[in-house]
Amino acid sequence: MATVTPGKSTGGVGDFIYRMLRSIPTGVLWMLVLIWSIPTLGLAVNSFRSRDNQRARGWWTIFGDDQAPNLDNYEQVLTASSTNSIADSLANSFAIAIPATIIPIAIAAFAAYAFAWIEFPGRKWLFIGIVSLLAVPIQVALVPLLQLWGGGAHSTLPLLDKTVTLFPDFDFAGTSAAVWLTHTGFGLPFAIFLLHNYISSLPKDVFESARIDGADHFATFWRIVLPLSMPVIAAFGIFQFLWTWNDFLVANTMVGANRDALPTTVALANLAGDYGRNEHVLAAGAFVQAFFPLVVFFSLQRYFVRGLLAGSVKG
Amino acid sequence: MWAEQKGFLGEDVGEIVDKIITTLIGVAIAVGVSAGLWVGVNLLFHQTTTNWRKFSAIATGICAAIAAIVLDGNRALKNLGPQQSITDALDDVANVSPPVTMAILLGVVGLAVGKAVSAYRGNPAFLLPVAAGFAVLGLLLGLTRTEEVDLGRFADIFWWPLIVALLGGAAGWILGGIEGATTRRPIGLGAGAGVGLLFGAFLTNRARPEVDIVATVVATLIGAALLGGLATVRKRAPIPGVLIGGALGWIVGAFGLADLGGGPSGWGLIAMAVPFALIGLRIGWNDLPDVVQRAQIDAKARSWIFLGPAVGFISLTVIVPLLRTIYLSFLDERSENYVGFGNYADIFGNRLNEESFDLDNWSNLFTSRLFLIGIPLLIIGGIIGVLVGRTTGNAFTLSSPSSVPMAIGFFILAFALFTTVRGTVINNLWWVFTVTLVSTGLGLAIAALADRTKLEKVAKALIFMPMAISFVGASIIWRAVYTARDPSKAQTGVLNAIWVGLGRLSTGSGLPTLIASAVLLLALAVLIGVLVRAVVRKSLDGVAPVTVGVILLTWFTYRFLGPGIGGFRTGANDEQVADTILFVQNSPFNSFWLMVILIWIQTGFAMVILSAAIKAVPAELTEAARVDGATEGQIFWRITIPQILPTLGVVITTIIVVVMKVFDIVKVITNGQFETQVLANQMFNEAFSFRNRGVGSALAIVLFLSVLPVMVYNIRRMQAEEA
Repeated sequence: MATVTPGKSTGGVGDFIYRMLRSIPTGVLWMLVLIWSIPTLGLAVNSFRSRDNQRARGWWTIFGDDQAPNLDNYEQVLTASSTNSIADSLANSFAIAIPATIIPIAIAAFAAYAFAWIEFPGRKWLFIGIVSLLAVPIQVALVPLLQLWGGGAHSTLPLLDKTVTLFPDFDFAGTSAAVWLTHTGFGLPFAIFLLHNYISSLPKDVFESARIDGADHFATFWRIVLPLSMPVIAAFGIFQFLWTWNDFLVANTMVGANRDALPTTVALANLAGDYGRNEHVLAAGAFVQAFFPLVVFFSLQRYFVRGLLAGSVKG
Repeated sequence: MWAEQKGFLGEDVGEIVDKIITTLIGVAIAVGVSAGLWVGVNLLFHQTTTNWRKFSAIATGICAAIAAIVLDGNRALKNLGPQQSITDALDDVANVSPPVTMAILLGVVGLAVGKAVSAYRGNPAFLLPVAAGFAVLGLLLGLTRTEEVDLGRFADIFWWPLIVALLGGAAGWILGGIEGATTRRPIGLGAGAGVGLLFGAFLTNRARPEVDIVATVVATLIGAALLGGLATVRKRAPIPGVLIGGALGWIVGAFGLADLGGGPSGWGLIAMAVPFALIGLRIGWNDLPDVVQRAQIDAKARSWIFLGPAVGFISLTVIVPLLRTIYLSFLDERSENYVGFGNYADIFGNRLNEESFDLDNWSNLFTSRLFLIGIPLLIIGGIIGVLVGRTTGNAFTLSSPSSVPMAIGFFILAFALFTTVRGTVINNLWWVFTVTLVSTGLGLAIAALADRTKLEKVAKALIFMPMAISFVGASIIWRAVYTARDPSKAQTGVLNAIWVGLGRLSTGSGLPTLIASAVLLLALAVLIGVLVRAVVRKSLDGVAPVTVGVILLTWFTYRFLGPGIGGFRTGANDEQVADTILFVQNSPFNSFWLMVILIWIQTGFAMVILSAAIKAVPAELTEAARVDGATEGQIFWRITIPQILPTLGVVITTIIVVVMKVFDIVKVITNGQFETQVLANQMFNEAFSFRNRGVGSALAIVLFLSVLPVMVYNIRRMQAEEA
C-alpha cells in the first residue's frame, strides 16, 4: 500500500510527480489483477497449442508457433477412447454433484425452519452443536465411512458377546453414492447455518398471520418459508455444487480404486500423475474439468457472493 | 437414444448422456421417495388432532414394520417371502414389458410426490398430473435400460414388514377406537403377544436362545425398576415405564445373556412373545388422549420430524465416524489390538519423529540470511516507533509508521524459523501462518484499493475467479508456472522465463540493458525525492512504505548494475549459463511456492467478504474524519479497520480451517516429497496407501484437535450473538 503524502502541490514538476504517485494504488491493483490472471491465461493459451509447440517454447510465443492454435487437445481429452477418461468422468462428476447438492438443501431447509420457528427444549444448544461441526475436518470421518459404505456397521455388544447389525451393508464401495452421501453429511452443518440465518430473519408477522389462518408448521413451511427462501437456497446450491464438483479428497478415498466411477478431479489428478506422455493435454483437461464450475460461477456470481456474505459476515 | 450423435465428441457421448439421465432419474426417485416419506409423516401427525384412530393404526403399523425390518435385517427371521415359484412368476410378469412395470412403479412414487405437491400448493389438482409425469419417466427409463426388472427380490425384502405392518395396524385401529382401561389393556396385551408369537414361530434356528430363566427374570426386574424409577423421579406414572423397562430387560436377558442358536422352539416363542406383549400392554395402558394431549403430541412430533433427517444424517456421517476414528486411533494398524497412545507416540515421538519435528538445525536460525534481514527491520521499526511516539503518542499501533517495517520484519523472522526447523507439523504451522496472513492481507489491500474505482467489478471478478477452480486444477495451472526446463533449452514456465531473462538482461551489455538501467535509476531518484519531500514536510505517514521501497529498489539496482541478478551464472569455460530455479524440488522454499497456490485461491474469498464489510462502514464516519482533515491512510487504519474487525476475525478463522487441512495441492504436486509433507496428506497416505488405520486415524484426530480452538471460538461468538 503506497500511501502518499497529501498536501497542496506547488505546481510544475512536483505537481506532475504527485499526480503520478496518486495513481499508484490503482496501478498496484491492476498489477495484482494481472498477476492473478496470468497463470490461468497461460494454461488457457497452452490448451490450444500442439505438443511440440508446448514443449519448445512458452505460451507467450503463441504467435510464433509453426502450428496454428487448434482444438486437437480438447478432442483428445473429450474422446473417451483416448488414454484418459476425462469425458467419462464428467458423467461421474454429475452423478456425485447433483444429489450432493439437492439432498442437503431439502434436509437442511426442514432443520433450519425448526431451529428458527419451532419451540422445543434444547433448541439453542442443538443448533450451536450442529453449527460448530462446520470446522470439523472431513478427514476424521474418512476411515469409518469407507468401512460403513462398503460393509455396513456390525457391532459386537460388550459383555453380551452378540454381534448386531447396526447399519446394513448397501455395498456402496467404489460408487458415486458413497461420495455424495459423505458430502451430504458434511454439507449439512453449513447448509443449516446459512438457511437458518435467512429463515430466522423473515418477518415474524408472516408467521403469526399464517398461524391465525390456521396453518400449522408443515403448511407454513411449504407455502411460505420455502418460496421465500429461494435466494438463499440458490446461494447454498451454488456453493455445494462447486465444492462437490471440485472435491478431490472424498472422491479419491471412496472411488479412487474404481476406474469406472472416477469424477473429473481424480481423473485429472491421475492424468497429472503420469508425467510425460499426456502432459500436453493436461491444460485442456483442466479447462474441461473447470468448465461447469466456471459457467455456474460467472452466471450466478451474485448469488454466490450473497451466500458467502450471509455465511460469514452475519456470523 | 443419443447414441447416434457422433463426430467431434466421439462415439461414447451417448453413453455419457445416458449415464447423466440415469443419474438424474435416480436422484428424482430418491428425492421423490424421501419427500413422499417426509410429507407422509407430516400428514400422519395431522391425524393426531383430526382422526386419532387412523393415526393409531398407521403409527402402530409402522412401528411393527420397523421391528420386523430390524429382526429380518439381522437374519433372525425365517424367509417369509413367497416361494421361489411365486417370485419367478412375479419376475416373469414384470418382465413381459419392463417399460410398463417401470411406469407403474414410478407412477406409485409419483402419487406420493403428487400428494406432496398438492399439499404444498394447497391444490389437489396436482396429484394426477405429477403421478402421470412420473409414470412417463418410468416408461422412458424402462425403454432405455437393458437389465431385467427384479421384482421378486423386492417382494422378498418387503414381505415380512408388510405382514407385520398389517397386523400392527389392525391392533392400532382397534385400540384407537376403544375407551376404558378394562378393555384396552387386555386387547393391547393380546395383540402384542400375537405379533410376538408370530415372530417367535418364525425365529431362525441360529437366533433361538437357550434361555437362562433366572438371568432373564433378574434382567427384566432391573429394567422395570430402572425405567419405573426414572418415571417416578420425573413425577410421572410409573407403570408405563415399568412395562417398557421390563420389555427391554427381558430382551437383554433372554437374548443377550443366553447362548443363541439351537434353543428349544417353545422358548423361542415365549422369549419373543413376552416383550411384545408388554409393549402392547403399554400402548393399551392409558386411556385415549384428550384434545389437549393430542395437540401436545402433534407439537412435540413436529420438531422431531423437521429435525430428524438432519440430525440422523449428521450423526451417521459426522459424529459417529468421529467417535469411531478416536477409537481406532488407539488400536493398531489393522484395528485388532489396543496400543494406547502408541500411534500418537509414533507421530510425535518415535517412528515419524524425524518427519514431524526436525529440530536438529535450529542453531542455523541465527546465521540464516532471513534472520539477518528481519532483525534490522524490527530494530528500524522500533526506532521509528519511539521517534513517532515522542511527537504523536502513536508509537506501536497499526496506524503508526512503525507498523510496516515491524510487520515485515516479524514475517521474515517467522520464515527464518520455519525454514530452519523442519517437519510435517512445522510445515502445517508454516502453511497456516503464511496463507492466512498473506491472503487476508492481500484481500484487504485489494478490497481497499478497488473500492470505488472504475471497473471495480471486473477487477474483483478476476481476483475471485480461482475460487471456482478446483484445487487440483489450480495445482496444474501453477505447476505450469513453476516449470523448470533444462538450462540449455528455452524456458516454458513463466517464472523461470522471467528469472532467466532477468539474468540475461542484467549481465548483458546491449541496448535493452542500458534502457533498463536508466529506468531503474530514474525510479530510484523519484522515490528518494518523494522520501525527502515527506521528511521535509514532516508528514511521516507515508515515510515507512516509501523507505522500504527505496531500500528494496536500491538493493535491486545495485545487484542489476553490479554483480548481476537472475538466473545466470558463469560456467566452467567463462561462458554464461542459464540457472533455473527448481520451484517444486528445492527445499525449504518449495513449500512456500505451494502455499502461493492456496493464497491465489483464498485471497478472492478474503477480498469479497472484506470488501462488503468496508462498504458497510457508515459513510458519515469517514466523511466526518475527512472534514476534520484526516488523510486517507488515517481514515483506513483508524476508522475502517476497527469497524471491520469482527469480519476480519471471521475471515481469518475460516481461512485457518481451510489451510489446516490442505491436501489436494500437496498431493498433486509433490505428494509430500522434497520435505513438503503436511498432516492431511500424511493422513491419507498412512490410512489408505500404507493401510495403517491406527496411525491414519491418529493423524486425523491431530487435525481435528488443531481446529478445535477455532470451533471453540466460533461457539463463543455465536453464544455472544444469541445473547
